[in-house]
Amino acid sequence: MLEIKGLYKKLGNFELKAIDISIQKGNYCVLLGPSGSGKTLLLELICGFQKVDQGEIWLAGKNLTKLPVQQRRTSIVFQKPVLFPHLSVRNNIAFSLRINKIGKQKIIDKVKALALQFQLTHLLDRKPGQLSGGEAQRVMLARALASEPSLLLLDEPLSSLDVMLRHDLRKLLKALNDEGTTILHVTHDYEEALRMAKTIGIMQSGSLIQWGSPQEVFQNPASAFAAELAGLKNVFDAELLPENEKGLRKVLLNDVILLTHCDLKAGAGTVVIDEKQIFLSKISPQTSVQNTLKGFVKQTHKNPFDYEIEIACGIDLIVNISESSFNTLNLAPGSEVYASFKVSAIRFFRT
Amino acid sequence: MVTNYSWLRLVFIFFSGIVLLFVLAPLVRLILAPGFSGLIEAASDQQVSQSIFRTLGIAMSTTVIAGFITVPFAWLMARSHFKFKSVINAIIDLPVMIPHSAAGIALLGIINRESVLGQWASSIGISFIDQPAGIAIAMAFVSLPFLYNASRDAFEAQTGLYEKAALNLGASQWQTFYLVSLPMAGKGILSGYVMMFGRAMSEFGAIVIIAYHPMVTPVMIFDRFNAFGLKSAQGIAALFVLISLIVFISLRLLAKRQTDARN
Repeated sequence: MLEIKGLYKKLGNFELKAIDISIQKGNYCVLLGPSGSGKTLLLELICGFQKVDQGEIWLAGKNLTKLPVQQRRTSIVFQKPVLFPHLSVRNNIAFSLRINKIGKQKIIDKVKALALQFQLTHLLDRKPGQLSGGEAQRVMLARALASEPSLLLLDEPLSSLDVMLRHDLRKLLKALNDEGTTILHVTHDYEEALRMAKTIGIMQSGSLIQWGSPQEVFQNPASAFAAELAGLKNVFDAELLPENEKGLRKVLLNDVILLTHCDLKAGAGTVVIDEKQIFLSKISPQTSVQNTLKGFVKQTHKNPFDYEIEIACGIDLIVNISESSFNTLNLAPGSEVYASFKVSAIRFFRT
Repeated sequence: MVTNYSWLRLVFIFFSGIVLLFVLAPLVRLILAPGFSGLIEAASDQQVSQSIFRTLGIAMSTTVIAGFITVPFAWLMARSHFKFKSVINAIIDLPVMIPHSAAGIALLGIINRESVLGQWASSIGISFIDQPAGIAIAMAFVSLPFLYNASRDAFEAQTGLYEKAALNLGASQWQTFYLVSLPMAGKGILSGYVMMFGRAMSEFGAIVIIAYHPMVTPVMIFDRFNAFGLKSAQGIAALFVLISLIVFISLRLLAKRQTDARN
């Protein structure tokens, strides 16, 4: 689908180095990296705003490397909505259709369908200045999809939105992907990557340092940088079970069952357990906490400010505890220990 | 709304009054001096009315034609980054800075009948000296910077992202320009046009050197004043100022309606 081979670009002092990417049709790929890592430049090279120095970009069997922007069939959604302020929402959405001289009735039908899909029907006659941030980004998406692109490029499209709107837009993006739209999304937010991605790429100062499924990337970060970027320690393949227990959902990790809040459909995914919210004790704890696992200490490691304990309890849990807790509990490899954590310490992501 | 009548504010209000009075008093006096009968008399003078139509007509054509090539130039300058950009911007501003009589002399140097341009123009039947074409050249020279600056500012105020978005949606360079950049800069460009037109129709210094005849109204006012004195010039001047006012208020309203309709 999208094949990037040995892509190189020098821009001022910055270099994008030997990028190789292959994305299958229907994939949702998230490029994760801090600002200045070259994510946006890569998107600009793909859609043709910047000229490639070396390497090739292929999309759906076509070599894009030297094609003009207009012929690439990639649509980009920017960080902030870039809607034409002099045109109504309707005419913004219809922009590419008008350019391509599609018949009048077809344009009307298409705009209507997109408006319905993105819940914009009541806003069609408004000017962009009268829209909220979330509405404007929905119009951006509808406009980007009107041209039926082979690839949808997203440049941190959620970062200017508040939490609720982000949630809504994520759902929309997921749905689009489920319908078959191939998406390449760049962000610096690992949670976004984890929530959205089928494939994750990690970028660091112009290089793609890791590429793989979220499990691969978050469980085996290719470098300390990737791990830090991921910011995570307890990442597990998991299966969300259909059963409810006391209003909570069961998740299966290896053969350990944990309880969590989740309103997704049953199925495979990824579970992340926040290591800061795991409590250790030597005896079975008498608390309201829903998840308690019995295991033994595999190894301990002293950090500058705390101890990192690895516990084998059906899964390998990493727990950070303070030095005083470490001394009180008197932990050593082989010690029997209980790890307990609240349902809210567990997050399940569909992947 | 204003509750704080500090002494500083009062001083500033006093200054504002002086400035307003300074601008308004001569104009009000000018319009009142000849009285209604004076205005009618000036308007019924065929030479005067012809000259007013001539002035408005040439100024309008100049603005439209010169604007047609100035706006794309302004866009190009807004989007380009190169070493001597500010030098070029300063050059465009020169006609506003120099005495207009000097501008006329400068223009005459390249369009006179002996010059290369003058000879070439006369070979295809165009003459500038004492001709409407010469008047247009003088008007364009001194008024163009107003349109250029207003348009460039308007284009610079848009980020390049809108153009990128249009290209990404399949628009050609030309479609991007006239469907996105131009309408988005519309308000600024329209006000540039109004300024340019105003400057063109009121030009005297450069025109008087290139084309004393046929007389545009500013030259005619000067001519009547020289030949017949203040009273005779006042009527025409008042009439021209009134017409200018009407034209400008209409253009401003029109420009406002155009941009309001868009927002």
